[in-house]
Amino acid sequence: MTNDKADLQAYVLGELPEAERRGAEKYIAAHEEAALEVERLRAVLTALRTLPDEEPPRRIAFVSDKVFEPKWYHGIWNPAARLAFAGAAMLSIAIVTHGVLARPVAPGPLGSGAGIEEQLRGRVEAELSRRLEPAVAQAVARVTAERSQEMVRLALAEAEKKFALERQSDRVAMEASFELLRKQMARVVYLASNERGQP
Amino acid sequence: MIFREVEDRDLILKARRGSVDAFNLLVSRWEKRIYNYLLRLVRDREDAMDLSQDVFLKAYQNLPKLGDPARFAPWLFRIAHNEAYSLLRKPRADTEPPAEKAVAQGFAALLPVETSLAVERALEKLTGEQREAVLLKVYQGFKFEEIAEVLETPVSTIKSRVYTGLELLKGFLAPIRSES
Repeated sequence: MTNDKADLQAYVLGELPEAERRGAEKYIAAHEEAALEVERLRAVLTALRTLPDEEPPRRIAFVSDKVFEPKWYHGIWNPAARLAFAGAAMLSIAIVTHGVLARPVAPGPLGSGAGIEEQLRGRVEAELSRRLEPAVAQAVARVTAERSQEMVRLALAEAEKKFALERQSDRVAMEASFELLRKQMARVVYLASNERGQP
Repeated sequence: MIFREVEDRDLILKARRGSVDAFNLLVSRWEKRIYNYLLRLVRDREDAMDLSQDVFLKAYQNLPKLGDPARFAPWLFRIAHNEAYSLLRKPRADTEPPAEKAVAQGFAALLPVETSLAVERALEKLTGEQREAVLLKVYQGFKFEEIAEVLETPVSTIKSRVYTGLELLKGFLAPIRSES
């Protein structure tokens, strides 16, 4: 609180908040000049308020005339009704928009926020399971098929390799047989020629 | 006062729904304040009476536009202010000086002559803006924020007008105060 005239005027006019008013009272009690100024201001207000209000020379009651009565819908279409209508319209738009954009889900009991979250999580997990299981089975079947083909291919390769080794072994054995036969034939021919050269 | 405001709000809501009786009751509650406010602005009883009729007619017709019923008083005085200044802006055939006219038919017949003359003349010396701000503050008891709403003027400007007006009145009325 200062000795500012505006502060003192606000105090006299009752415009100070309670805390400031108490501070002003202490200040005025402690400062003679402020107290004199407050006294002068109160005297001005007292002088001004000596002018009493006059009674109107006649009553104002013209609105009883039917011409000035509001239409029947003015009573219905008041601000509260307008607000309610606007709220209902926004709610309707929200519902329609949700219906158009959102995937329809089976209705379930609505509870608290946590319950709804739990319900949604369950639905998501069920949907994931529903879509994931066939995909996994398909992938497993594909891998199994691929592994089977690989095994067949490996078995065939092994068989071919074994067959090739057998053929090579047979060829070696045949060549050895032919060599032995050739040697035996040569011996027979040598022996036959010796017999024919001796008397 | 709070009880009275609640009742006014109830009457306003009923009047909005078309209750003429509710509005007539509102008129009976506010007509004296509106009439005296207008009388101190235009300083003519007949003009003040005619303006009061217009104010309540416009209030009745525009009642559905009043957002918050608790703001009825500033809203009603806003209409009165507009009506008064519409009249004051019109060129008048009557050439009698307003101050003299006020003295002739104002409060002189009802009050001690010295005080009424001194107060009337002191108010006359204020600017129109200062006088109206002081009238709304001293005679109608509005808060600064409400006066700002009535006059559609910043609160700081209203404070300045009231404080300056009071300071001037203090000087104008000093002889009366010293005599009393």
